[in-house]
Amino acid sequence: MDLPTKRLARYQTSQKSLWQRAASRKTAYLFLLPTMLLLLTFNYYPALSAIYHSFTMWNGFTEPTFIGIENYVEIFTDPVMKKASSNLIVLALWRMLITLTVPVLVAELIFSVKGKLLQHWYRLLFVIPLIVPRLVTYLLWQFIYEPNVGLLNSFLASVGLESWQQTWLGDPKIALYAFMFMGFPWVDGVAVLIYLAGLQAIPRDIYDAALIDGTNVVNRFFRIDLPLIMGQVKLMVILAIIGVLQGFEGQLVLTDGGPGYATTVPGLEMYKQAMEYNRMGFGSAVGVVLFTIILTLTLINNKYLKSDVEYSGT
Amino acid sequence: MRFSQVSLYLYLVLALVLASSMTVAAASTITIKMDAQAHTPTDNAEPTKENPNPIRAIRDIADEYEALHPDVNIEFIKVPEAQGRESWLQARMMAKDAPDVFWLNFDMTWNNYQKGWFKDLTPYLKRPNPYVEGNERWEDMFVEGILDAVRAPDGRIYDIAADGVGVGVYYNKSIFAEVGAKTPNTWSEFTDVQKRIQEAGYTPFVIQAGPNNVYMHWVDGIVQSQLIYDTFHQWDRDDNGFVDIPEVCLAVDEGAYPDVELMKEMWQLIKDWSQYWPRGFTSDIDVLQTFAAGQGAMMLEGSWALEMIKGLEPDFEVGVFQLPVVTKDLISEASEVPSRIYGPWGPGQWIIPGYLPDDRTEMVIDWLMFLAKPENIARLANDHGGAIPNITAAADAVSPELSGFMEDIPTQVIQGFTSVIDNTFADRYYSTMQLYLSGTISLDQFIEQSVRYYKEGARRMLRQNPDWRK
Repeated sequence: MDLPTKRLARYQTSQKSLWQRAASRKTAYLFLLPTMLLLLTFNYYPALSAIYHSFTMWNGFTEPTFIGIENYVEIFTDPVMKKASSNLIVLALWRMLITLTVPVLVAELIFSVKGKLLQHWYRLLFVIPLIVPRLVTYLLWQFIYEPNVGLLNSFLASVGLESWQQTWLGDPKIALYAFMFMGFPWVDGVAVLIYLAGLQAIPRDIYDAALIDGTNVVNRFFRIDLPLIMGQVKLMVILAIIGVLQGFEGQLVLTDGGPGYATTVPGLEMYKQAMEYNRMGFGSAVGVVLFTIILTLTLINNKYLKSDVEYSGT
Repeated sequence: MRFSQVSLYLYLVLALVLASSMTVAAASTITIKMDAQAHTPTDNAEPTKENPNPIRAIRDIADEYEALHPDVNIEFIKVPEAQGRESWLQARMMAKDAPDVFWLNFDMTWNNYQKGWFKDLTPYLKRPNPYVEGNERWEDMFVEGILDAVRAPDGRIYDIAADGVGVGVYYNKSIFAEVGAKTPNTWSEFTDVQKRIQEAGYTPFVIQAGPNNVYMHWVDGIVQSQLIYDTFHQWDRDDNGFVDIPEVCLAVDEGAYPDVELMKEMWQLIKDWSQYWPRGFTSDIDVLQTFAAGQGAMMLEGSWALEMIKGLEPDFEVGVFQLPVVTKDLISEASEVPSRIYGPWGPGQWIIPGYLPDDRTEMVIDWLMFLAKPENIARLANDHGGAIPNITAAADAVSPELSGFMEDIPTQVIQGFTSVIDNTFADRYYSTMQLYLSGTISLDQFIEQSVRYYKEGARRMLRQNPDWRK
């Protein structure tokens, strides 16, 4: 087809109505239909339902009673939710810090390994822990932190540091920090892979040019690597925020949010209120608030955290 | 050729007739699904290292019932306890796919019967049990007062409580002998014994006030019952001998409960007691393992734990006594009447979903009546090891090892197995208690916050259950 004919075909297509254009591509839409139906049923409908039920007193079974913004007032005045929110901020900052440091460092170290085979094995080494269920990790740390026979206190006793022994998850003053320390050395296999893929996509000639200019490792990291993996950084920041805001399984397994409310987070409160205490209306309201926060932070992240260096991927 | 064709047709017809008769037979067999909680038969019929206490009595009883009723098949369903019964119940009721008989603690029915989740079993209990000769009303077979204990605030019974459980202080007889201690009767003697045990290098009392447990609720209930024994009648509106959840809510709403000063004295006493508890008691400690390993001299546990302890093969003898009485020299308002936890919270609590059709309910009731025969309940109790029959004629089946749970002292007068209001209240109250016991907040702060939680909880429950005010 020559150029004028192509233009004519495009012009004719643009003159068709939306329905006509959709009808002409009906096979594609039919293929999409099951996915869309599942999405609507299991993702959009529950989310919209949660927004509606957040304005009701509802136990999940009987007819909901409309109570206006009462659930939201409770969220913003309840001391437990305040404590949960402050814990969440601390955990989010901590997660951001470790997401932006340790996996980047590990990815850089693997990227610096010269031999391809060796690089492959190192990558495998950091990814293997991904197959261990998260629950196993939590139970392992529960054993490490056990105050009487746990690994950590036993180790401290064996090296003569009995005075350093603590009731790690049982002391409200240190429980949150003990919780944050869990997972040491905090190498997230997925994050390492994503950062590594970003580093491997950087064109070789940029490094060659930098080498000719006499750059050192630190300069290379801050002036080449980091700016060019900002897309990956942005993704990891979003994932970290979503992970922290939605995650509560660690608290559920290890502390139930305690002692007191030392380790609780809004997600855990949402789960307990909705699923254990039959307060589905209040749980929905907490969910809506969390959704709004995630959406806002994602938009901010997309707007302000940008990769200002472009390169050709060829 | 013609003959073989006819034969072929005949075979086909025969096969069709056989197939259709099999279908009819299959359709006429009714399967009753039952979640029997701790009475659910285990996979192993003989003791193994992993499961030294196999449960099989209920399967044997079901086989006998099936022999009597060839058209009925009893199937036992395992409900994962890790999920939490509240969540399980909510999901099953919404999906309307709960077993035909399922287990719940009776007080959990009180917070949910308004939703129509459970069948009202009161009329069925008025009928004769055909499997027990001479029985005129099924309810006459139960230990006096036990059905009143499970009766919901609307006066109906949604839970048939065929057996119960008790709570007591298990003690290591070897450690007691080593320090020359006797089982204490008063709180002062109790403190003295614990001091001697601590000096001997053991943890005196293994208990945890950490996540997901009811130990502190039990302590609260027993000690509080001792303290309010002379005064609780003012809140006991239906005069049934205990203050149940609706009565607590109404008393809180009227500002008559709790007694703040008494509460302060009680929690100060418990805080003093906590010096004899294990390090890190506000975290998740394995109480049973610690006790069975001989590291702790005492623990507060339910009668069901007896078989579990045996399974851990401790190298010492175990005894059981009830928590000693608080005397007036410690708290001047104390009634000096001891208290114990015993109630219809056993594994033999039978609930039928509210949505079950009447004809199916009839069949389920018939099976439960068979199961409730005294000799069957005795078999269940013996098999379980920690359940105490609530059927009068089966009461002899109580193992002598359980006598410590059956001491002749009043049962607690403030009810609720996991909470005296609701689970949100329990979460708030006991979380704040953790802060107090760990020294993070003062007694005054704890009491002030607790009173607020009492008020919020009562308001919440009364709003959800307007009929409680009637």
